[in-house]
Amino acid sequence: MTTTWAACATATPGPAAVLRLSGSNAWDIVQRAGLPVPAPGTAVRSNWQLGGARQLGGTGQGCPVLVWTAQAPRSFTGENTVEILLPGSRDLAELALRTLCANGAAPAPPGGFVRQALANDKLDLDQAAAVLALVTASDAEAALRALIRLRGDLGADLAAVRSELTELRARVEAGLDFAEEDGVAGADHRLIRSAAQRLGARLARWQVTADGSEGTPVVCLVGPANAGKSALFQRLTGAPALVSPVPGTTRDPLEAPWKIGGRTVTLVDTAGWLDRASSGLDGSSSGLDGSSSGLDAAAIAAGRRWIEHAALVLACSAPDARLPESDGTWQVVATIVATKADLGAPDPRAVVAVSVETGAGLDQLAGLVAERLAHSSGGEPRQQRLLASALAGLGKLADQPPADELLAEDLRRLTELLSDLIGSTTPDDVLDALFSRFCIGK
Amino acid sequence: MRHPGRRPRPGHRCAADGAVPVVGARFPFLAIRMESVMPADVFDVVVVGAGHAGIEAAAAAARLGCRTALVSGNLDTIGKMSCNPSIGGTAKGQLAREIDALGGWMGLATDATGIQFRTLNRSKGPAMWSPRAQCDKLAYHRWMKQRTETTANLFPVQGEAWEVVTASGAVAGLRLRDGRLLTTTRLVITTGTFLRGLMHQGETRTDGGRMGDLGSGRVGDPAVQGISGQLLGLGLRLIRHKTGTPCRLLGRTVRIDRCEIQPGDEPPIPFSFLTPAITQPQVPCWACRTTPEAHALIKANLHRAPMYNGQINSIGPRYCPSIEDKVVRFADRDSHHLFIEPEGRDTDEVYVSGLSTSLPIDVQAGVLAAIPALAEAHVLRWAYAVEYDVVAGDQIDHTLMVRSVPGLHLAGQINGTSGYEEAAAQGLMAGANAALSLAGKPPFILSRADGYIGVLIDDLVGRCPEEPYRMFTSRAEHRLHLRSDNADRRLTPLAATCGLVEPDRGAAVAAKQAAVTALLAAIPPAAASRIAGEGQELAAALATAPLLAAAEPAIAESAWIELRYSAYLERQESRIAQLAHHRDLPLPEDLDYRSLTMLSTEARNRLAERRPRTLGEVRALAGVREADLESLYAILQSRRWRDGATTAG
Repeated sequence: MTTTWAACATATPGPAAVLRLSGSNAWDIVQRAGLPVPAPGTAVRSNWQLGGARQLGGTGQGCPVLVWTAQAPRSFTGENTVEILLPGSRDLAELALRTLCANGAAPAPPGGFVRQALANDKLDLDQAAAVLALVTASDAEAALRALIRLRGDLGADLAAVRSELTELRARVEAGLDFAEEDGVAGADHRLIRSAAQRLGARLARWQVTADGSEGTPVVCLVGPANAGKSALFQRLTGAPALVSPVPGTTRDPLEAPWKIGGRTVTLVDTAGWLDRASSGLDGSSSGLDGSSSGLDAAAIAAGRRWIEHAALVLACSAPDARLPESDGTWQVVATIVATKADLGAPDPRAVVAVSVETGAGLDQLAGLVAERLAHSSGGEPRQQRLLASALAGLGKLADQPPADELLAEDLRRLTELLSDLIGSTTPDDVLDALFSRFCIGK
Repeated sequence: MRHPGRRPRPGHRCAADGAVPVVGARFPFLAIRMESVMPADVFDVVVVGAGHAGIEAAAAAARLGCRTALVSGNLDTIGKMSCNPSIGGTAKGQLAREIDALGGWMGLATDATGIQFRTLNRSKGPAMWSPRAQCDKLAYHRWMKQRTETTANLFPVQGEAWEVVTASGAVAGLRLRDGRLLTTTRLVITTGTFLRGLMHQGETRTDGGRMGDLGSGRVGDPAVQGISGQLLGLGLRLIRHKTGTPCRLLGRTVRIDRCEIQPGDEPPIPFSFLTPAITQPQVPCWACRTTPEAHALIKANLHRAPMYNGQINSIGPRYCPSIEDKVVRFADRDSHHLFIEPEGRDTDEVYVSGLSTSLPIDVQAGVLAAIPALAEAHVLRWAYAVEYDVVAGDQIDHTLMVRSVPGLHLAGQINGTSGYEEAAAQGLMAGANAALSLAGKPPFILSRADGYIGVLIDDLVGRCPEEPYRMFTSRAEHRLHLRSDNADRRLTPLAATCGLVEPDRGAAVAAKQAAVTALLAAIPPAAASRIAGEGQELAAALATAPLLAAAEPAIAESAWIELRYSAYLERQESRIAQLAHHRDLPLPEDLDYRSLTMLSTEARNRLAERRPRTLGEVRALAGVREADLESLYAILQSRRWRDGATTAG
């Protein structure tokens, strides 16, 4: 059994602290320390009864935390991993770390997680170096460069895929332009399908999803309490239990699969995270670190974390719980949904009005989400959106390539998409050059 | 560029008047030498060369009401098909249709003189369908000659172009070898392969641009070489291109029993939108193949092929390569297609498509002997290669005018293209723009989304063609839209606005467009999605959509095609609109244009020089191609994203 290392993965003080444990018995340690262990790839909220927390001025109700797990080998380090998000107080983080170590974890040496990742082939040397560059990066640009390195050479991968697509297109084009005179054969659909499959797999590695492992897009419900988010969540996912506004209901689901048409998305209920006045995380539980602002910050940070990973954010606004104008978290990315349509006039900013009571608008909402995700114009970063389009295109070709002249258009569009990502375009001269390999007469 | 209808210029008579236009005060700078000029030698537009480019140039200028001279060294070579006896083919067929839609003559001549009609690529989708016809070469020439003689405003002139006369750097006339001066401010040069033409048959080299014209005093003829020198004198940069033509055989000596027959279509589909039906009988073509023995002989004699021994020091066409080129480049193939094409009804001469070569005659004979179908053939004319001068495309603008010499237009092989259709398309556009500029009208420029002609000219401008340019469907970004069935709907309305076609032809096409639109609107969504979603073939669509079946066949076919491609056509349209929408997109001031290798060299230089502020200003720059604009747009988009990411990170 290897050592399980624990360390604080973020700088404190900050809005929130993340503790990471990595090792074969990480889950046991967390459990022994009094925390629930959610299923791999998911997160739960909990109130952590930290020994000695009272000394920090707490009321004994525990420290609100969010616990995530990832199972070996599908984690950053390749080991079983647990991440604990807690309010960003240095004392609290140190106390939590001591608690974990008391239960069997060892304080991670500098670069310990990277070393694990190296040992488990999750990173190559260059990427490991990039991680170190990232953590020591002095400015944003350096950090970004390190991040790109860490993720492998995305650009090189895209360029390689694009050049293969260009070559495929040249073959298809040659079949179109020289079929009659030189007997160049049409596209070999079996070859196109297998190439599309292979290239799709190569690109899919770059897709970012909420938990880094599941392939389903995340749709996030946000909004003030009483906006009907939880009711909507239950109605859409059929999840049995409701989120309660009272602390301690930690086993309530935060996320559940939602089937829209032929695909499944992960619907996340962030109830209470946006609206602190009635979420129960404020007032009643305040005082763990003697200040409610730290908890607010943690709450917002966790909400943001979901929002950042979400493909689409649905901000709920009810006649009796109106969405505020903006608090900066959701304004850019959210699609506004008017809830409780049976109670009164829907929010005029909303694109769709639903009622869980009457069922009105639910299909429309599902259709809207499906469409937004299909075009991926939701809140995804541009790169992910283009990547998703490219993957969808490749998926279509892997499935059933269309007639040759349409296939050529599809391939042209795919290379354009990749060019948009890489930042250069393939001049058509490249096609000319490829043509020269075919036998063309007059 | 589209612009409102053409009005007759004051003091200028149109073709319809049937009278000789008045010549006079509109050439004030000529006043000093007017006394030495016979009025009959004053023209609005002078076209040099009466090949496929020259004919369409002169015809377009004449249609626009210009008094036009068509100068040829030999009027018996007007519209001569110097190489193969066919018009059209993949992408070229679409070009020929577009020429017809703009009022050109190529389609009409083909319909009148064709001896076999086939629509190529029938097994592919309808965007790929390309009309092709074998023509009777002599009849084609006669048809064109007669048409030039009977067209108002058009005056064929036999004479040898000798000197481009300029005044203050602009065109002022053309001097003929015999000393005559044709006074004009608009000159279109379409000299084909005759600029310092040099022919090769193995070790034998002959001056001239075409075999058979030797007898017309072209051996060592410096006439067109004089024009080459002139162009150099005007500061133009010339490069050398080369092309070739195969041998011609006596048909009755070809063993057609060893060939595969290639019949024409029944019924034949006309090229011109004006031709109701092809009524003349058709003749078959024949197909055979080269053999490993023939290839071995060619390989053993490469040192005697000027192309390989360095005698021809210029760039050849990759797309219609010589047989030695094919044998070397595709060494793994031991056989290539050959097509035996009759050159006319009244002759037994046949063209051997695929056997173009610069090898000496004795090797050619050996190669023929090694091909079973041709082993007994009698050779009427041997194959040869020709090299000639080409004006690098970075010196012309989208009206095909030389940027540094106002009034001087170039069209056809002189611009580095290959093929009759490519030449004719340029001729039409050069002639039209020469006439329009003389009348002070806006230029007639087609975009890449308007037609293959737009693609062709956009590809030529600002680029130095590395080899003779041939049109392919893959060059067109909007291939699904640029079809042979809708060439009239795409282009005839544009041609009508500037006077290139008669108003009633424009109205007829507008009515056709309205019919297609109405039919598309009337077809029930279920039937429409069957066609689009399942890729239903025409016959199936007609069977299940009664409205389609009830419509006039051409209308029904067009509607069916548009339904079939609807999803893709919409996407292409949105791309066109997107680019137009981003006219105001600012260009970063620190953009290092010279490092943007995906742009043409000329575009990079022009952009670095002029530093436009927005994408819209780029569009207006001469020498910047639409394709460059697309690339630049993509670069800006990704840069914007990258900058955004950096700031955020």
